[in-house]
Parts: sequence; structure tokens; C-alpha cells
Amino acid sequence: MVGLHEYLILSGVLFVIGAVGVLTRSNGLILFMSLELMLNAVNLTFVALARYTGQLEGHVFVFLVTAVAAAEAAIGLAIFVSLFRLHRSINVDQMNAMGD
Amino acid sequence: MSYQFAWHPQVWTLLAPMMVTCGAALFILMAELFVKNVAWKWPALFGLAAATALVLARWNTPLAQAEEALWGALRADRFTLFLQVAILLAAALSILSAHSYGALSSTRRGEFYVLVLLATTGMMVLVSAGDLITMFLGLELLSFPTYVLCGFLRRQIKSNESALKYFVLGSFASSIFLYGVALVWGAAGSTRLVDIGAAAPTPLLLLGTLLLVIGFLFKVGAAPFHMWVPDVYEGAPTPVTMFMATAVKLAAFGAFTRALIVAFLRDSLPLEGILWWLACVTMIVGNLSALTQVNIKRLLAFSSVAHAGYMLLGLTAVAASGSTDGAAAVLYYLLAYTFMNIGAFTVVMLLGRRAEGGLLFERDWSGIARKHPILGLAMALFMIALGGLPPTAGFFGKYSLFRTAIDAGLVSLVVIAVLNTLVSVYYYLRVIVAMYMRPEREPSVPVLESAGRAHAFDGPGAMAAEEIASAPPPRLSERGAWAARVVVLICVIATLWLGMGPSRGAVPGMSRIMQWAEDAVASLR
Amino acid sequence: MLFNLANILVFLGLALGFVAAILVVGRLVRPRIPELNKEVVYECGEKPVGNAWIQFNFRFYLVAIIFVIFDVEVAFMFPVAAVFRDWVARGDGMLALAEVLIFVLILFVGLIYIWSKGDLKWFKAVAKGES
Repeated sequence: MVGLHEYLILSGVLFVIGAVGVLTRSNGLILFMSLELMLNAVNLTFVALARYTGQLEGHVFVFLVTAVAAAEAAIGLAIFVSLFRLHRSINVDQMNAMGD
Repeated sequence: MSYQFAWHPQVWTLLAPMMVTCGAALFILMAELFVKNVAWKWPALFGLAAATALVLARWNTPLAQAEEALWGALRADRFTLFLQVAILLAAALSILSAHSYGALSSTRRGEFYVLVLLATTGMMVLVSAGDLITMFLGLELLSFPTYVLCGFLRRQIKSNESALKYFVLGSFASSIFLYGVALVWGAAGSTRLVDIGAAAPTPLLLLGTLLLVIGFLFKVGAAPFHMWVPDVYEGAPTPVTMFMATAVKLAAFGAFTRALIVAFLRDSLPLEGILWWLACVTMIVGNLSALTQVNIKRLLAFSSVAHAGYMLLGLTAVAASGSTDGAAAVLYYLLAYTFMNIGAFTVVMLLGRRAEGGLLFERDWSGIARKHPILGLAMALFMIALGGLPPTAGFFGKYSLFRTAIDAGLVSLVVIAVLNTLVSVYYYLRVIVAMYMRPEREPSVPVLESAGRAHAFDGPGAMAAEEIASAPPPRLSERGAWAARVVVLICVIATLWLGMGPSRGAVPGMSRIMQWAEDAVASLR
Repeated sequence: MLFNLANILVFLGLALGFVAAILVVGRLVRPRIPELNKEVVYECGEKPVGNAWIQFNFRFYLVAIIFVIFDVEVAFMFPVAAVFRDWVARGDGMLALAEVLIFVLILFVGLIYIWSKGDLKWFKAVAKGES
């Protein structure tokens, strides 16, 4: 029987995988996918909790989060495209124009 | 929970300021397509002024029914009012001084104002939010335009990198915040702050609250979540940096304070201890890192981390004593900090003539006070104020913060804070020494790093290659320098007034602004 | 049971007939200009043979950005559609309509903006880059 607990654990694991991905990967696009994974893990939490408690709010939150994630995707891609024109790479490890 | 829809005319009064700023943004976006060569700062400033008037118009009007109609998603209390006015002011000053920043006023100028106005809308939503989802939306509406603003100088590698770093870490923080929202909602059954404050403390709720706190700490740039601050502040165009350092901080700290007081401060969560350590680490990390900086923008970035630490000290006092005096001191300090910082960054913009080239203050600013006596004097005043010496706003702000902390029994933390202040005076004085006591140096043309490293992308579908290859250093347009000078003047007056005003009476005497800050905090519920 | 199967058969027949009809009509109507490029397997304008790890034209990314925005924002229409009847029944129909219209209007402002900036044209970049 798959209950609320399993879903919460799954979404927690997905969130942590996403977070580790953001912190360790150097390819811009993979980093970006990790960010999206984190948001989707949150969506899973919302849906699971909404189903469990019978509150409709959770589903509405998912809509909001999806739209926010899309806007974030658009801005992120735009920044990557802009950076790629200067750097010809989206490897985050090479971003060291600043500092001493 | 099922909501009965009940629209009330008061809702318009509550929403009007945000609708005005958002509407002004959309107006400029559209009008720019049809009319060229217009000084778009005027419509933008007009929008901000109208929004300020609308906020102030509800000074004596309680909007309980409007809050009811919006299910408590937005709060119309004095706290909102205080912070919204401060944010609108910071945005207006940033826009004014951006007018003198050559690179922004030459190309695609309308979009800059659109983005600032949209971010301002997000901040106004954020500080008035009484609901975690509204807070999240406000946070994102604040962040997205700010990411783009950081990368506004598309041809500069530093600006682009700044945008990337802010984007990645900002989105990371938002995700953490959102996960906190989800867990808290699951545990408390509601996203409204009042309901969360009344909910039974379960492990899920505590975990969610911790995640929310981490999200906030990222946004205010407190250690150990401050690593993005120096790079982002350095790379972003200076007017954007001042906007981020002041308005964003006002909004994020405002929302954090509200969430703490209304929802998070509960006996079951050891928030006092956590805040104690955070304040301590943030002050020390910020000040020690600032000691070795040679770039003035990085120095101010670390100084802003340190100031976040002082403000966390005020919030620790709230957590420790249960009285809200600490939060009032934080509000006052935020306001003082806004003026000091906008003033300092504007002078940085004016003195760093070749925009991002001449910012190594010990070398480039050597003896510059003789050439620009008034700007030098203003910068010296802002440095003194940031260091917290009398007779400035910084002194009184720090004084009231430390006093509430001592009242709350945080003597050891205050000792650490005072020691930190002494350290910080050293690096602020370094700037003054460089400007006044070093010989004037021969002007040389600094090599613009980004121009050398930028190369056109010439593959299929290369976009406007010539646009990238020749990136002229963004220069200050002499014609528009008046706007920045006005900003400096306003900030000087405000810094002095906020510092002198209160001490005319007895020292703990309340200036009117301190009174407003206390009213604002008292109105939280 | 048998009747259900017949349904499927009819549907299958219709679908096949439709495809065949389209192909025949297309053959009759279109001009015949044979060219080597047209024999190539269709891959959205990219060369189908060779390494898959090539640099994609970054117009694709821009189109993706624009698509994602307008595609997902429309998701907000679904909750409105779900409660629209209730609102009309309560007499709040015009208010709901006005709110949806404002939402669409804001999206429309964005559309006009990218349109007038020329970002909906595929060849804008190439033409400018060649100069």
C-alpha cells in the first residue's frame, strides 16, 4: 500500500537529488534541470498532501508553481544564451571573471 | 477549507499601489515600441510617486474588510505601509541615479525601468503578504526582474556572470523556500501566517519552518548563505547593485520579520539559538572578509553582509525577549541603511568614471577628494555612517539595535557586535584615507577586461555579432550627472537627519520615524 | 462486444481513408520541384547524419523560451474554467470574465513586445549576422 509517507519520502529524495545536482554539477543545463527537479519534487509534495488531506488548495499551488517554474526556465535559458555568446560555453566552473 | 468569494470595494484601496507600479511597467513596455527617444524615467518616477501617494492615502484607514475579502493573503497594516513607502523610495532613488549611468541610458533604456517597476511590485507584494504562497509569489516577482537587471549589460562578461550566479543561487533558495511552504502547509493545514502561528508543533512543521528560514537567509544574504553576494554585487551594473542592496534587502528582511513575529516564534523551535549563531557568524564573516577587499563594490557587498548580521541581532532580540522593540529597531536600521547605501553606491558610480574599470579604490581613488571635494566629503560621510559613528543615521540605528539586544539580555552577542563595528570602522576609514591622504595619481586608462575576453559568436545564426565584439566602456554621461548628484544630496540629508533627529530630545527619545517603526511593528498580528 | 470491435474498425477505416485522401490530394495539388535537400530525413532543419553532440542553433532556445512562457501561463485558465459556471450562477460572471480578460491582456502585451522586437522571425538573426 502506497500511502502519504511514501510520497513524502520520494519527493524528499527527489528534492535532495536536485539540490545535490545544483551544488555539484558544472554544466549549466544539467544544473538547470536539477533546479527544475527540485521544484517538481515540491509539486509532488503538494499533490500528495492535497490528496491526503482532501484540500483543493494544494492543486492550485501546483498550478502556481508550474507557472513560476516556466518563467524561471525562460529567464534561465535567456541568461545562458546571453552568456554563451560571450563565453562560448555554459560551464559554470569557468565563470571566474570576478574576485581578486 | 472552502472560501466564499466576497469582493469588497476596499480591496481596490489595498491593491491600487501594486496595480499602479505594474501598470506603469506595462505602459512603458508598450509605449516604448511606438515612441522612441523618450526619457522613460519620468513615467517610471511618476508611477512610483503615484503608488507612494496611494500607499500613504490609507494611513488612517483600516482595511479589515479588504483583508477579509482576500482571505488574509495581503495585509494592510502599518508594517506594510512603512516598508512599502521605504521600498518605493529606494526604487525611485535607484532610478534617478541610474539616469546618470551612461550604459543604461543609451540603449534599451525603457526595459530597465520596466524591470525595476516589476521588481518593486513584487517587493510590495512580499512585504504585505500574510500568506506563504503570496509571499512566494512576491519573492519570485521580485527575483525574476532582478536576475535580468544583473545581466543588463549584455556585452559585459561580468554582468552576465553576475546574472547567472544570482539566478542559480536565487532559484535554489526559492526552491528551498517553496519546499518549506509545502511542508508547513501539510503540517498546519493552511498557508496563512496566523494559522501557522497557532498550529500544533509537529516535526514536519519544524522542518518546514527551518527550510523557510534558510530561504529567507539566502535572500537577505546572511552567512553561511552569503557566497553569492560579493560576485553578484560586483558584476551587476552599479545602479542595479544599489537597488539590490537596499530595496531587495528591505523587502526580504520585512517579510522575514513578519513571518518570524506572526508565525515562527514558538517555544517548540530553538529559533533563538539559531538566530544567535547566525547573527554572530554573519557579522564576523562579513567584516573579516571586507577587510581584505580592494574593489569598492566588493567591499560594500561584504559590508552589506555584515549589516545583515546587525539586523539579525535585532531579530535575535525579538526571539529572546518576546518584545517587538528589536523589530522596530531593525526597521529603523533598514531605513537608515537604505539611505547610506544608495548614497555610497551613487558616489561609487560617479567616481568610478569608467564604470566598471576604476573601482579599485586604493589605486584609482588615490587623492580623488582634491579633484572632487564635494563627492569626497559625501563618500566620507557615508563611510562614517556605515561604520556607525555619530552624528549619523548609522550611529543611532546601531545604538537602538544594540540597546534592544541588551534589554533582551544578549550581552555577549552585543559585545561581539561592538567589536565587529570597530573592525568595520577600519576598512571604512581605508576608503577615506585613500581619498584624502594619498597623493593624486596620474590618470591612466584602465584596461577593460571584458572587452578583451568577449568574442563574437560566428556560428550559424550568430546574433548581432558586431554588437558583442566592440563593447565600449560604459561611460558616465556628464549631461545626466545632475540626477546622481540630487540622489547624493538627498541621501546626505537623510543620513544626517536620521542621525541627528532623535538626539535633539533625550537620547532614547523617539523621532517621529522611530515612532512610526514602532507603530508598524505593533500592528503585526 | 462485437459491436465495439466494429466501432474500432470503422474508426480505423476512417483514419486510413483520411490519410490516403490527404496524400492523394497533396500529390495532385503541389508543384514538383525535386531537390537533393528534400530527400533528407526531416530533423527540424538540422543535419540528420553525424555526431548528435553538435551545437544546436540557438534560435531553438529562444523559440523554446517563448513557447514555454505562453504555453504554461495558459494553465491558469483551467482553474477558472472549472469554477466559471458557479460564478455565473452567482451573478459574478462579468467579474470573472473581466479577470480572465485582464490576464489575457497582460499575456498579449508580452506577445506584442516579442513580436515587435522581431523574435518571432526565424531569419532575423541570420540576416543581421551576415552583414
